[in-house]
Amino acid sequence: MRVPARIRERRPQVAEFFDSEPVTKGYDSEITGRILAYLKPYRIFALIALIALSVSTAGELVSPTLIRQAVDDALVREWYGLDPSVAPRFLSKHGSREIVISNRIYVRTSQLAGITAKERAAMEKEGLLDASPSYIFPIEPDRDKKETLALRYPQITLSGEWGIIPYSLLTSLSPDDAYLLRSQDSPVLGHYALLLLLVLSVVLVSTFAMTWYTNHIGTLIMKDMRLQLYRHVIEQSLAYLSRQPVGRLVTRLTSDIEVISQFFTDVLSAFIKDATIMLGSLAVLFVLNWKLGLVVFATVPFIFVAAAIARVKARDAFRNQRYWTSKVNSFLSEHISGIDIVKLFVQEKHVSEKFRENNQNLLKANIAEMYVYATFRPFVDFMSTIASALAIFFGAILFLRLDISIGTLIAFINLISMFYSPIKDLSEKYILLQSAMASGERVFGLLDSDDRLPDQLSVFADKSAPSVIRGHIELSNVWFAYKNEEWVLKNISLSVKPGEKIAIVGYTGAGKSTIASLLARFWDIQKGTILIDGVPIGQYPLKRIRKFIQPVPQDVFLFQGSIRENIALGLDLSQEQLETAAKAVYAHDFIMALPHGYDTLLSEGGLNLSLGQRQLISFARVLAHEPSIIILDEATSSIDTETEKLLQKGIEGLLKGHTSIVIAHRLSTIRDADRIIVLGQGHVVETGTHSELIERRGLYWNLYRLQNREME
Amino acid sequence: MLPRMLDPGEGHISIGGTDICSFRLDRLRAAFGMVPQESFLFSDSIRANILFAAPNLDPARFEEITRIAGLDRDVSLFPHGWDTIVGERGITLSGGQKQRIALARALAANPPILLLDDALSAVDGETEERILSALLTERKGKTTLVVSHRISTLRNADQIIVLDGGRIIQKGTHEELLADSEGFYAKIAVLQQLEQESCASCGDASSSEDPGEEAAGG
Repeated sequence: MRVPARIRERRPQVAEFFDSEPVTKGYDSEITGRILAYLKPYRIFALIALIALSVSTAGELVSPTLIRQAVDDALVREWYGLDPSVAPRFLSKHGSREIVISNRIYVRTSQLAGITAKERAAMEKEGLLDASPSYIFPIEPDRDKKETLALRYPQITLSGEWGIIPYSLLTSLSPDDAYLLRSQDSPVLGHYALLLLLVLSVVLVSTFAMTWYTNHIGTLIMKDMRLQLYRHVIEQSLAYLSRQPVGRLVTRLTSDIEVISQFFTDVLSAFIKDATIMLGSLAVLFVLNWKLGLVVFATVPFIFVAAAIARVKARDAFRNQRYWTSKVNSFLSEHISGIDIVKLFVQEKHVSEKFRENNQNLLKANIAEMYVYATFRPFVDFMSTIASALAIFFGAILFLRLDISIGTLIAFINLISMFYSPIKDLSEKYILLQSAMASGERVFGLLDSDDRLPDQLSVFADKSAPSVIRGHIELSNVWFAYKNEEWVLKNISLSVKPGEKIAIVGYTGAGKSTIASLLARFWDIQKGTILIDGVPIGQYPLKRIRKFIQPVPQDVFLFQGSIRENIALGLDLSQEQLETAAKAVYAHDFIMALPHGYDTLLSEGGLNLSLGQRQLISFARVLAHEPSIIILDEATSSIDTETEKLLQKGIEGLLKGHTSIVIAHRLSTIRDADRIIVLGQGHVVETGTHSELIERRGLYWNLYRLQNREME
Repeated sequence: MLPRMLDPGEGHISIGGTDICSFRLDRLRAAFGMVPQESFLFSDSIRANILFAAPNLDPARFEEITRIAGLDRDVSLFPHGWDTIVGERGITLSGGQKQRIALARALAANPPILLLDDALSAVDGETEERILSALLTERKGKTTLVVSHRISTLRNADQIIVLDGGRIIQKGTHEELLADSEGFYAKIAVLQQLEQESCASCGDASSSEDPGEEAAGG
C-alpha cells in the first residue's frame, strides 16, 4: 500500500505535459485591464516613471530647437540691410535682434521669412533690401587690428561701434582674419553648447529614472503575481492538483509571469514613449513651421499602412515559428520519455522520420520568420526613409526660398528622424504585446479556476471552532473514489474513541492509506459521513482539521534547510520545545551527534540521514505541532532490524497519550493496538485485538502467517 | 530482459534453442509484443497509438484486435471515436482504458511472443475475464507470458512460475500449485479468495501491487 494512486502516477503516462499551447493572442482589453490592476500598489512609482518619461521626452524634443538656435544665432549670422520704410514688418517682437547702422536697419535671415520671392525681388530692385547678406561685428575689442583689416579690404565699412562686411568676403578671408571678426560669436556658441549639455544631462537622468522605475514596477508586479498565484495553487484541493501536470503549473508561475512583466517594462512604457515622441515632434514641427508640419503629417498614412502590413506578416510568421518550436519540443520530450516503447516496438526509424518532418517544418517556419524580418523591417525602414526624404526635400525648398533658416532645416531633419524611428520597432512591440496577452489569459485562467475543498461552516462560524478536540472519530457508511465510480472505500463504518490506539491492516489496495488521507481531509468523500467529536469533518475550518489531525506519511519528506526548521515547519519553537519533541521520539541523541546539532543543514531530500533517522525527524515534527489525533502510515520499504528497533521506540513515543490510527504493513508493530481493523477491497472485513483475530483464523490470520513465512 | 532492454549478468536466455544475443536486435524485438506495467501512450490519436508498430494494418484486423482488447465498447464514448487525441487536449483516459489501448498496440503487430507485464491491473474483473478468454483464442499456438499478482488472471496458464525475492520458488499449473496448501501460491490464493468473499457485494477487484510474487505461463 502506498500513497493514493492518483498522486503516485506522476510520471506522465500520457505525454500530457508536452502539449503545445497558444503563445500569442490578439489585444484583449479585459486582460489588459486585469494586468494594469496590478499597478495599483505602485501608483507612486508609476507616477514617477511617467514624470521621468515626460521630462526625457520634452528634453529630446527641445534639443533640436536648441541646435537650431545655436546655428542661427551663433554660427550662421547673416544680416540683410533694410530701408527703415519697410523695416517694421520684419522687426522681431522684442526689437533686440536688429542693429541700426547709418540709417539702415539690419535684420537676420530668419526674420525675412514670410515674404514671397517676388516681393523680395521687387524690394531688392528698389534698394529697399540688400541683395546679398552681410556680417556685422562690433569694433571693440581689438579696434586697431580690425581698422587695419578694413584698410586692406575696402568692402569693409566701419561705422560708429559696428563694422559691416559682405558675407561672401567673410568666407574668403584667412582663418585668422575671419576669427578676429567673429571672436564675439564663440562665447554665444559656448553658451548654447552648455545649455544643450544641460538638457542632455536631464534627459539622461530622467531616462535612467524611467527605465529604473518601469523595470522596478515590472519586477515587483512579477513578485506579486507569482505570490498570488502560488498561494492560489497551494490552496487548491489535491483532487484538482492531481489533474494538473506539474510542468504546466511551473510554467504558469515562471515564464508566463515573466512575459507579463515584460508588458510593463518593454511594451507599456515603450508605447507611451513612442506615442509622445511622435506627437511631440509633430507638434514642434508645426510650431517651427506649419508648412513643414503639414508635409510630415501627410506621410503618416503611408507609414501606418506599411507598418500594419509588416505587423500582420510578422505576427503570422512568429506564431508559426512558435507553433513548430513547441511541436518539436513536445515531440522530443514525449519520445524521449517514451523511448522504451519506441525501442520495444522497433520504431526508431519511423519515429526519426516523423521527427525529421517536424524538424523540417520548424526550419521552414524559422526561414519564413527570417524572411519576414529581412523584408518587412527594411520595407518599413524604406517607407519611413522615403517619407523623411520627401519631407527633407520640401524643407530644403522652403530653405532655398528663404522661408526657413538653415538652423530650422537642421532641427527639422532631427525631428523627422525622431518622428519615424518608433514606427520601425512597432511590430516587435506588437508581438510582445500579443505574448503578454496569451500569458495573461493563461495566468488569469488558472487564478479563476477555484477548486478548493469547500468549508461548510454551518456549526462553527469561522473561528469559533473548538481549539481542542478530544479525538472521537466516527466513519459511517463512507464511500470514496479518487476518480469517477472506481470505489476505493465501500461502505466503511468504524469508530475510534479518544485515546484509543487503532491499527488498520489489509492486503495491498484495500484502501488503508486512503482512510488516512480522508481524515486529514485531503479529499472529500462522495457518500456517508465522517464525524470528529460528533461534528461533520467538513464543518471544521480546513486549517484546524490539519492541525488536530496529523498524518505521518510513509514517504518522509524533508525540506532543504536545518533540522530545526524541518521540525518546527513554520512554528516559532523554543529550544526546549524542540528538544522535548525530539526526545520523545528518541531523535535527540542522534541529532546532537550531528556536526551542528539542530542547525545541521539537510541536503535536498535529506539524503545525508538514514531512512530511520529521517522518519524520526518527521515524528518529532508531528509531536511539535501538538496534534490531537495522529495517523501513522507505516513505510512499506523493508528496513533492517536495527532501524526497525529504532523506529519501534520512536513510534511508541510518538503515539503515547494520543488518539492514533496506525496504517500497518508490518503486523509485528501493532500487536498491542487496542483494536485492529482488517480491510479487504474497500470493506471492513474483521475487527478485534491481535489475539482475537488470530483465534478467528480469518484474513488477518492468513496475512500474519504469510508475513511470518516471509520473515523466516 | 527478453527483448534485450537489459542483458543478464550471468547465464543465457534462448528462444527456440537460439541464444537471444545471436538474433539481430530489431528482429528480436519485433518478435515481442510488450504491454508494459505503465502504459505510456503518445499524445496522438487513439488509432495512431494502436497502429504504432503496424501502420498499414488491415481495417478488419483493427476491428478484431480492438474487440479482443475490449475497446469496442469504449469507442462510442470517445468524442471523435478512434481519432480522439490522447491527453490534455483530447480526452483523459482511465487507467484501464490506457492499459487496453496498450494491449491493442501490442496485438497489432501479431507478435510471436506476447508479454503482459501486470498489464490489466487497472481493468475491472469482468472485463479482464472477457479479455483473457478472447486472448486464449487469439493466442492459440503462439507464446504468451503474463505477469500478474492476481490469481484469477493466471488460472488458465499452462505453467505458472512463482517468484519470491528474485528466486523461483514454485512451478506448475494452477491446480498443481493449489494442491500444495502450505505453498506461497496457495496462501495467496486463499487470501485473495477470502478478500473476494468478504465483499461478495462488489464485483470489481482493486489494483494490487505487492512485493513478492510474479507468475508466468507459456
